[in-house]
Amino acid sequence: MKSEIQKAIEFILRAIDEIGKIAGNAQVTNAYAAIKAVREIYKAVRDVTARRVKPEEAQMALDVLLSRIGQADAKADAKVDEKFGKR
Amino acid sequence: MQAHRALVLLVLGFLAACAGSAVQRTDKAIRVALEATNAARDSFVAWDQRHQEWLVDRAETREAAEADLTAYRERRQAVVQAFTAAYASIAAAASLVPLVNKGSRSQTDLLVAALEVARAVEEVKRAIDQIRGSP
Repeated sequence: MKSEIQKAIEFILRAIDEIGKIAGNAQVTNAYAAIKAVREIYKAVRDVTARRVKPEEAQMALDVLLSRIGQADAKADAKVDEKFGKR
Repeated sequence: MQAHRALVLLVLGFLAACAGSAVQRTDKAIRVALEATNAARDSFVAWDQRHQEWLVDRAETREAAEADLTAYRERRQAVVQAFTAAYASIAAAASLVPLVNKGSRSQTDLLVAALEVARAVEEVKRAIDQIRGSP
């Protein structure tokens, strides 16, 4: 499931694409598409920033960091065993 | 590319945060700081895994691999501590917003907390730059 941030990034990339098309083809329809995409970007980012941060979100974000680091450590340790054999 | 996306998002987020009252703006800035810190976290953990695998790849003995991993993980603690401080400051600032809205805490308190968030996020960036620049 895509996060709102990912959706916002997709809007940004789409707008950049549309603006790029205008550079090569100045049709009014493309200009309209670019304006529409930029408007969607603003709305997406505005919607994201409108959600108040709950303190638990920060705690969960830190938990994700610690969990992923633990997973990376385990993978690296497994790679040591794989390369040099288990003790 | 990921860093550029995070930067674009940060700029747009701050632009979007420009509307509203001082409390609303600070509230939105806290959201932007959380999203930016999460983007930095995701980028760092991906690099962390690649870096540890690289340390193992280049080692010629088990002892060398283990010593390199241990040394790297000790240095990495500075990054983990920076992230911990950043998330703690974000949680503290976020918990102040409803209190300021109710009038039991001042806007100055919230501003001070927001400045601490900005300092903590900057420290995350510095810690990541430092570890990525070391062997």
